[in-house]
This record gives sequence, C-alpha cells and structure tokens, in this order.
Amino acid sequence: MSNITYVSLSQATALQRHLNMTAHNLANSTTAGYKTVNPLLESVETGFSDDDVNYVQDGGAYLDLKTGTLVPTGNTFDIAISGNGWMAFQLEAGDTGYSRHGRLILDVDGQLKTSSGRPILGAGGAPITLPDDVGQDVTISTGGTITDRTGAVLGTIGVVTIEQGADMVPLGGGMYLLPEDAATPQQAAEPGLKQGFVENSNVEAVLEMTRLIDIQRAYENSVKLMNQDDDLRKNVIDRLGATA
Amino acid sequence: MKALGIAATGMLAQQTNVDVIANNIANANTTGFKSGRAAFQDLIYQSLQNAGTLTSEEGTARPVGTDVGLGVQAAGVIRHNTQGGLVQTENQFNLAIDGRGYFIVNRPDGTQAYTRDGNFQLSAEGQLVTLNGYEVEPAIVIPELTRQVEINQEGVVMAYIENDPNPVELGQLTFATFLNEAGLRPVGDNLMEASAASGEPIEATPGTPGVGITRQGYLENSNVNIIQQITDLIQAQRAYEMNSKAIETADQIMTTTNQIK
Repeated sequence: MSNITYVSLSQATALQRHLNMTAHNLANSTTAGYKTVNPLLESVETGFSDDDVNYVQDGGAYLDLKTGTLVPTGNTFDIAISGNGWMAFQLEAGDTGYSRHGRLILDVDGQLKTSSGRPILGAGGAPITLPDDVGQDVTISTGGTITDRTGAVLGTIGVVTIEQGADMVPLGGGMYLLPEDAATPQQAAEPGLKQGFVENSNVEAVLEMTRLIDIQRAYENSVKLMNQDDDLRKNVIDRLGATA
Repeated sequence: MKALGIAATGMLAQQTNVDVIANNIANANTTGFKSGRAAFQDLIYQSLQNAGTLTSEEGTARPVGTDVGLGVQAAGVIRHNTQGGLVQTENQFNLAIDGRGYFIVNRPDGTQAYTRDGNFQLSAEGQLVTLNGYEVEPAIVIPELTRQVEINQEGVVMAYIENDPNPVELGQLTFATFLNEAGLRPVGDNLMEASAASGEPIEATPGTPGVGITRQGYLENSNVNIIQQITDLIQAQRAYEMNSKAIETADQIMTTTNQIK
C-alpha cells in the first residue's frame, strides 16, 4: 500500500476524534461554567521513506478560557467570576479541583458545596461553614467576603489565578485539575465575584456548527483520496499485468 | 464513533430542560410555587493520551493530554427560593409569608409537610385547613358565631365573636425554616417534604428575625418569570437542534466510511 492511503487514514482518524470533541462541546452548550475544548492537531514525520510524508495526529486538547456570558438568576448562592480566576473545591480523594461553575448549595451542616457535594474552599484553603441561623440571608462581595445582615464577616470565598489554565485537565462535573508541573495557584488580586449570577457555557454555537460542516467535507475528501489511490493501483495492475 | 452517543446525551439533557421549563410555565399561576432550573454538568472524560507521559528518553513530556469528553448529564433541578409577589385577596383566611418560613401541614398519614401556599379554608369543625383539607399545625379552631378573624404579623389568630368588641386569642401559627431550603422535596399539591439534604425543620413563630412575617388577606404568587422561561425554551430548542446536527454529521461520516471499498 502506498503512503497516500495511510496519510488519508491518519486524517480520517483525527477527524473522527475532532467530531467527538465538537459533539461534546455542542452537548454542553447550556452547561454552566463549561469551557470549550479544542483539538490540537500535529504533523508526524514518518521517517521510513525518502519522501517527505507527514501524517496528521491528534496531539491533545486545550481549553478555550474565554468568559461565558454571566446570566442573572437571583439565587443567593449562585456565584460567577467576572475576571479570569477559578474557585477551588475539595474533591473526594482530598485533591483540589478548580471550577468556574459557582452554583452552590448550603448543606445541613451549613457547609457551602456544589450540588455534587464538593465543598468550596475559602481564601485560607479550608471549607466554608456558615452559622445555622443565617440561611440564605447573606451577601457576597466582589472580593468574596460573605457577610450576614448585620455586616458580620462569616468567611471568604477564595479565587485563584492559574497560569496554564488552557492546559487544565477536565474531570467532568465542571471540575478541572491543575496540569502537570503547574505553578502553585495564587490568590487573585481582583476576584470579581458576582452574587446571583451564573456563568453560561462559552461554547460558540456558530463556530461548532461550521466545524461540523468542515469535518464532514474533510472526511469525504480523505475517503475520496483513498479511493482514488485504490483506483490508481487497480489501473496499474490492469495495464502492467495484462498478458499480451 | 462516540459522537453519536455524545450528541444523544446533549439531546436528552435538553429534553430534561424543556420538561423543567414546561413545569414552570404550567405553574405560572400556582400560589407559592417556586420555579426550578435544570443544572447540567459535563460528563466524565476519557483520556486517550495522558498529559505528562514521556515522549523521549531524554525526559521530554507531553504537555497536554487528549481527554475526550463523553457529553453532558443533568445534575439536578435547582429551585429558586426567591420571594414571589404578594397579591391582595381580601379573604381573611388567605395568608402569605413575607420571608423564608414555611407553613406546617399535618397530612392524613400522620407525617408533616411544608408549604408556602397560605390559601386556607375552614373545615366542618371550624379548623384551619389547606385546600386539600389537611390541618394546619398548630391546630387553630375558629369558634361558632365568629364575626371576623384577625391574624397579625406574628401569626397570632384572634377572633371577634358575636357582639363582643374584644377579640379572643385562638393561638399562634408556627413557621418552619430549613438550613438548605433547596433540599426540600416537592411532593405535589404545593407541599414539600423534609429530606436528608434539607435537614430537620427549625420551628419558630412568625416575626422571629430571619423567619418572616404573616400577611393576612394576601397570597404569594408563583415566582416564575415567564419571559425568562420563554427565552430558556427557545435556547433549549436550538440546543436540541444543534445536537441533532452533530448526530447527522456522524451519520454522514459513517456513510462516507462505507464508501471505502
């Protein structure tokens, strides 16, 4: 088999992965705090022939960190970040996860958590527990300070900045892990928290839909190329192999 | 080809979304109703290549991994416990709560439920009951020949009987509050049940700080914002269509694959 078929095959495989990612983005077009994933395609030199043949390979994925639209909900414990920081959460295994999905609930012990039960971490790195009697009657400042109706400070929501945000590892459930060898996250100077808001998914529907078209046509191209290569070979066999 | 399954999770999620929106719109005029909103989360990711794996013997490592997400899931329906508007009804047994409390209702099976719907009536025995005939806790019985009933902001029920100019105190209503109101389980008939997530009810008399006050002659409207619901509905429909396009593309790609000889 000639290289043409294999080069086309590498393209077709990469395109299928790309389609999976696009479908995932579209499926999450209304998921609060969701960040679009983009494929990172790279060329790979084969090295086993003199021809300058490069295959295409899926080199990974990176996140689009653009802030999604902030939508007002009026809920006391819906918190969105207008800057580029992240909120920290305690995961089941004791690790720290990061998220921009700030739809929190107050559990029976007065702890602020996500709906899947992961406590949000305060500026000091510990979970936040509110006293029994305040309930929903709290105000959260843009700096993250939680105060009750008398103005007493009950805790501070921590917002950190992460340098290699685009390389963060998605964990599902709106959580992301720090990438390998990342610098320790720093407390954000201007957290820019907004109480009563939720950050919409930052998926650009138009972009993803045009991508669908792109993927489909490119896939058809690569399959056509395989077929033409096949025809070419068949022709060669017919002509050269014909006995006079 | 995972795209088919991924897009299907997206369509399912939008169906849940439309179900929740339809329920909100259907209850736009239900007394004491709190609108809900479906919350979504991205599903787990499948790591095809892990970040940090070595790419050479010299110790160079892959800076990013290939994590393909598997779609979306519904994470729950979050109720918005904001105050609904108070509407004047002039009915002396219509009560509204201005604040975060709930009325306590005794159900026929002996358990208690909680409601924001203060559209009360009298039973044949003169007791204060809900529209389903469930007794309001604590029991308030209005004596015969009562001319007028007054319920003040602290929930104290007073009756003017016959021609007596001085009212008779019949009792005081009790409100229940919860640490996590969002955890209450709706059971229909405008009633909520306590759950492990909501915590046990904390009982207090109306007027206690943070509990709310009673307003006689008013009902609390549904807090459904109908314009918001309609725009959400449009969004849900378009998102559903977009996911179906992803399925269409996956299908066509598979058709093309079949054309490879």
